[in-house]
Amino acid sequence: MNQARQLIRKALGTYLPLVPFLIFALFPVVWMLISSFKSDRELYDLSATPFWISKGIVLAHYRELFFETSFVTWISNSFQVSILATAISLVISVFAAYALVRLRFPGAAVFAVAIFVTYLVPHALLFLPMNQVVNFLGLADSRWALVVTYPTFLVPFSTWLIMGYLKSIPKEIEEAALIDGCSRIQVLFKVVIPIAIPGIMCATLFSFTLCWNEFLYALTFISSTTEKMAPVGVIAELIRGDIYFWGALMAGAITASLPIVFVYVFFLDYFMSGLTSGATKG
Amino acid sequence: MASVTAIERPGATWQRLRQRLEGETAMGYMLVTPAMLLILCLVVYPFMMAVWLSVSDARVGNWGQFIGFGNYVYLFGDELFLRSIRNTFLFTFSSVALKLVLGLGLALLLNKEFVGQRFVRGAILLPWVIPAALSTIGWMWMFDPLFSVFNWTLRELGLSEDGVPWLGRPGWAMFSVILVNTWRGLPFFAICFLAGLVSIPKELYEAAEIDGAGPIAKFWYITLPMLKPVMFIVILFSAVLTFSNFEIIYILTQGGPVNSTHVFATLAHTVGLISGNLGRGAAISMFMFPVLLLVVFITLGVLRKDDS
Amino acid sequence: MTQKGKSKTRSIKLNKRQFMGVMAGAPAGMAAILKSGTAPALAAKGELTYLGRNWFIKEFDAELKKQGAAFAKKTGIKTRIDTIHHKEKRVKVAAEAQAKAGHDIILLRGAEAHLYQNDLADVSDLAAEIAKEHGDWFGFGKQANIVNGRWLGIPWGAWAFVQVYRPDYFKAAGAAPPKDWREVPAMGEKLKKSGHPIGFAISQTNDSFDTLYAILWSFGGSTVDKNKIVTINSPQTAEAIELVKECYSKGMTEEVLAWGDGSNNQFMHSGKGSWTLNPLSIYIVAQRKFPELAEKFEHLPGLTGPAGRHEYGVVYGLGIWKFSKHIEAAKDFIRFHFENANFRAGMQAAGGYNLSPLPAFTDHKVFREDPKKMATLDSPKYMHIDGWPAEADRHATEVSHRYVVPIMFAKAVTGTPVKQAMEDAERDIKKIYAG
Repeated sequence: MNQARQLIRKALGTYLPLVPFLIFALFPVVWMLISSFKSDRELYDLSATPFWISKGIVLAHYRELFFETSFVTWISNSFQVSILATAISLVISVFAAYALVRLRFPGAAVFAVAIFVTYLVPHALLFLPMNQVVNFLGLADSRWALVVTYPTFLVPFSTWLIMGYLKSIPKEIEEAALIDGCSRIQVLFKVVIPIAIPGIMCATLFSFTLCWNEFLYALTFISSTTEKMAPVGVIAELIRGDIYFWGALMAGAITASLPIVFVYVFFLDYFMSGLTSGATKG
Repeated sequence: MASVTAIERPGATWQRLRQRLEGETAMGYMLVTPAMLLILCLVVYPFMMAVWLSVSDARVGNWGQFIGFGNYVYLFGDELFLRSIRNTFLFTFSSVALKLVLGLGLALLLNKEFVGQRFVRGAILLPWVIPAALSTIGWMWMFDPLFSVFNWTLRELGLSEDGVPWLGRPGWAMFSVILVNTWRGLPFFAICFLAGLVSIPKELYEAAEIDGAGPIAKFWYITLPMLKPVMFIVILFSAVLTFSNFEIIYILTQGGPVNSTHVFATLAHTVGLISGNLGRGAAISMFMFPVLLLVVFITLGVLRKDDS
Repeated sequence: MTQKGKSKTRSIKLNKRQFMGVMAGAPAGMAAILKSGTAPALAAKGELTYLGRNWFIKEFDAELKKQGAAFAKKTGIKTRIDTIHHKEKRVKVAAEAQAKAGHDIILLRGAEAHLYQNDLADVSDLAAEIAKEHGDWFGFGKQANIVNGRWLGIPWGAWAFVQVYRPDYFKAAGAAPPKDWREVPAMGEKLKKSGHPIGFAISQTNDSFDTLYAILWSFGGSTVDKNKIVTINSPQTAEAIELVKECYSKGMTEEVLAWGDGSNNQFMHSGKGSWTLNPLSIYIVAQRKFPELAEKFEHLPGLTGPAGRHEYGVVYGLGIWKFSKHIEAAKDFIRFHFENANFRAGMQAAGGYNLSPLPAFTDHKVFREDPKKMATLDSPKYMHIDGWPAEADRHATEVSHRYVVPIMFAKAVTGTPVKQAMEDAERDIKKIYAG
């Protein structure tokens, strides 16, 4: 009796209010997934029910995506760029965050604000001059252009996040290591970084997502089909003038986000615990 | 506790050098240098160029001559620009407010213990991880005047024969772009707030319960104040991104209908790139900057006050 | 006071480098380096590159790539063809012009030759050479590509906006396809009543000004006159607006206010629409995806109005960047591409979607093989681009891409008084032409 009442309370208090949120978040995704399996004929049929597939599941859009475009190459490019840019940014950010949180040196406060403000400069403002820098560096039309430019928005963000996390670690642990004769560098690598792993993981995930989703730089700096990132490639190949290849576009959107979904499912706990300390102490 | 091995003792010069490098100041500069170099070369320099453009008569393909604040003066006489200021603020304010309220509600729900919690937490993140450029195209199809799945539903339910002109009428178009922005940004809010909620010590609530506080009082006097720092940071980041959002509006409405959804970023694109008035386009983008700067300083101020 | 201030700042003539010096030391140095620096990587690659848009007919992209490969084989110059979405192409072209580095050959759309006049190489000799071989260019190619007496692009092709309609629906509704714009409202009324409305975009999208300029011009209206005096606020414009209002209220549904470039295609493909204006893409896509539907589509030429027949042309040209390291090779490639067999092969691959810039190629068999495509053939004679009857300068481009004219029509059909809508447009156009 009591148990049943508790169950009802749970249903009313937790599950019921969650339903609208889940529908809001998932409906477009599910709907895109469904659309990607529909035949063109059904997609353009006004009398068809949009919620399910009534004329047979069709793999043609996926076939088109995988075999008639360079989708596999783009995904691989996206991976390479996102991993490299994230790795570079995190090294830079961990150093900077540690220095700004733990070390006292003239100008530290100014640096901290500078990093913060950097995040605010809109991409739309920067990409033309940035294109010039990219050309100057000889990186035009290569994935390296993105590896070099993505850290500009990853570093400020990651530094902020990791700073927050470091603040939550008691100073005493490091001081003990210093007294034991460790150098600062050793403290950083052997003590601070291991403890800060959740925060770093969280920054990694965020950074990876931002890289994976970036559009403007990926579009401007790269034009060869073989160098493109996934979202840019999908749009370049599947929206042709006034013709939208809806099915293949949906297939591309879903497939291009799968890798990140897996990453998140896998690292969700890390992500949560990293954010828990990082965000609150920001 | 890290185990510390005995440290070798090399020559005296090395020792001195090391000591100097070990000093907090030198060390600090050393560690910050990579970040600063990056920012200097890849942000400050392009930013300076952008500032230059905004006070020049540059056209696409050249860097122009200095014309003072001519572009800014021109813009304040431009009906469309003034309209896009209003649109930008409406878009940003509404989206962020929606994300804030819904995000908080969602975070409170996700913070409860229930079966399937892990699945729900993961699922809720989906809108945020699908590349925006692609998911917005999905929304475009959902808002399609002819094939809109929403209008189909309304029709089938007998609620509206003509459906809703999602992107066809000014008010609805603004609503639609705000909706898409909220859809995409909500997971970020919810997850960050959830992280904040998780870190609130349980003892605080227990103590409050002993004092006889109800759920509303607990929310008002414990949850909200404890969430304040994370809230401010999240609002800040989101406001910045929403304020300069380009893709959603560009893909869905191109600023239409009747310019009712033109925002700074889309207008700058039209004026600066498509029409070639680079200087004026840069000036439009520049308008974003002081506003964003203001938001930052307010936020930093609030956070600092909070710290002390 | 502002007058004085202006002249003062002008006389200072601060240039970018000096300004950077004022702003900050270090970045200024870098600016100087960057200014002199070209893109070493691209120059070193020694590859001829082309940046174009993707065609919805993938065979055309493939044919172009094939010709690139054939050219490479013939001359030993490695050639790369990049095709991207047309809206993104605009961003790339701007970025390349700014950085003075990028591709060698650029596909120019509409008025881009005017927009990038300082960065495009003079190709007058090549234009004359090709014209000598194949006969003179169509007028639209000249309007788009001759800037201050020099050819900055080689006309490449155009899409005609013709009537696409369903004879079966017309028959059922008892409507006859029109020759004159003024017949459209009555026709639309019958069709809409029969359950199959007509439509053209009255929204912020390219298709919208493609059609609405045609109506405006056919009624004798224009944004500016030959001397760039703003003329939008005129009785002719008012007439054009009244016509569109009537078309909208009698023959269309509210949807057209939200249409994107793809919407009228879907409108026809869904079987709902009975009539619209579009290039051949609706028909060609139907041939591939819904053959039984393609059977039902017919085309008719563009419409006339009180001031005659005028059409807006979506026109393309090929330009070569002045800063390209391979200008001569680029010209050779264009020459090669315009060889009779190659150009015809391109038109064949595009299924007649691209209209030739040269009258000589209009006898192409792709049209004879499918008479439904013939309706587009006389459009080039009537085509103009942005800003007509003045030149297609940056002001005209801005007027188009701020959608001033579509907005004027959209306002009028949603209840703003015609006079008010015209005055708003006049104010905006004046502002743009003054800037």
